[in-house]
Amino acid sequence: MDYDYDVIVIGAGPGGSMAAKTAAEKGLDVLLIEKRQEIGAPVRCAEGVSREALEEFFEIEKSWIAKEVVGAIIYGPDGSSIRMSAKMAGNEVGFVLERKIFDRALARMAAKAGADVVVKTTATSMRRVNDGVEVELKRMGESFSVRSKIVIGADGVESRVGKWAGIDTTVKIGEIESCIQYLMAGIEFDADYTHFWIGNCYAPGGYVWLFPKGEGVANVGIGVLPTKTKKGPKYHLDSFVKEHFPEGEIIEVVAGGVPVSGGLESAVADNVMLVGDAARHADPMTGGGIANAIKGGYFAAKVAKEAVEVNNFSKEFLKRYDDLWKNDFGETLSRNKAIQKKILKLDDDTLSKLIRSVSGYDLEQISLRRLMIELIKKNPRILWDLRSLFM
Amino acid sequence: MSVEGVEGAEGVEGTAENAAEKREGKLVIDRYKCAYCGACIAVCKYDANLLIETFVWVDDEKCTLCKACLRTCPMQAIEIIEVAEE
Repeated sequence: MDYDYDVIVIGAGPGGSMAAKTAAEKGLDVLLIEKRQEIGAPVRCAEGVSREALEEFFEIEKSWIAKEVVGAIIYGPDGSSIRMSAKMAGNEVGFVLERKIFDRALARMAAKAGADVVVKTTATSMRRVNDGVEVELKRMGESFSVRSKIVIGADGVESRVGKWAGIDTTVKIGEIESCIQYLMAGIEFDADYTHFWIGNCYAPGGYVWLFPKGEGVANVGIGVLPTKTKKGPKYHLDSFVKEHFPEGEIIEVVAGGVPVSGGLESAVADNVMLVGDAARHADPMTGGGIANAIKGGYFAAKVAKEAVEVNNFSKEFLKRYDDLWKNDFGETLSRNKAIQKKILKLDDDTLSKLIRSVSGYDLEQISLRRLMIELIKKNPRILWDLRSLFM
Repeated sequence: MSVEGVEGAEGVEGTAENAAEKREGKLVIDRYKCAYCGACIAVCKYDANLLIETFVWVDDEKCTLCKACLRTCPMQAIEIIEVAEE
């Protein structure tokens, strides 16, 4: 069979572009397709990512970063708070990106590395032909098909690639955060920190966030679990904004669903690997997805190269990709899923109590793991079942 | 691997007006509210909806009115309307 490409990557978010860039750099013939007419817009993200997550793969350019922060402040239902340094606070704290610029920069890198890039092009179906796959594409009214050895599905929360390949990617409504975010201008806050408000009084089954994009400008958003509230995220965010930032103006509205199921059991099928939100790789506790999407894209491209070398695109072979992501961030996904489940069971008084129990600590210096251990020690009755994850 | 083709364009033509003869009702999306984020598609186990660039298309034949998408939609843009019997 003649192939048009070694790899077709569907979706040009950070995961897809990273996969395309890496695969092209490794000498593979790559096609990167994006269904929207613009890469990077509309944004469906709070735009937070740690310095380390970017530094691992890129020479960071200033234009990608709207604001750098030094840490995170977490507020409990009763107003008590804890403060953590960016280094300790995990994958989402450090930079607040300008995704419209960042996503395009990554796609440009993929193009520079030799990948073909097409936008306003939708994959409408896919079928297996001999040892490869044929993907039907629709581009501005024109239908055509492209044959490839491997398809990397980086097609986001609404992923279809997985379903076409027989992977059940359906997310339960108790495992998706329904999110709304306002880009707000003219508000007052400490722009050196990202801010999180937790508790059912703010966000049933989720939290409210504020990610600074500059002085007086920030992404103010909320995620709620549909199983925890009938009112929807907009109602809860509007209540929050009315109380905390009544003076602000909303200059952009962002909506999205964040899968918090903690990752698919397996993100591969014959000829197919899934990356990022398509693989449900967002962190179940924080909802952050950029860091894992970039890593997943890198791993998938690495395995694609190995598969092309030995001409084996079977599910069995591609399980190497599962091994890579599971050994890297898979454990954290499982652990944070367990923490998220625990937090969901706590009422607001208990959450406040937990935060108060460590509010005297100097959290600039301790890791998230250390913090959890202290929390467990101070609140054994509440958190005892989490001890095996940390102690 | 069995893969089903998606006839996006045809579906779009059929969405708005010619409501199927389903007695129970019909899923409709308020275009003024929809932010085409795709959350509804992630939770649909019947593969009954599809995001075509900036347009969510619902396949009335596959939709079971289970309301998973309706409950998930961040914009609360989805509702079920009654459809008169013919």
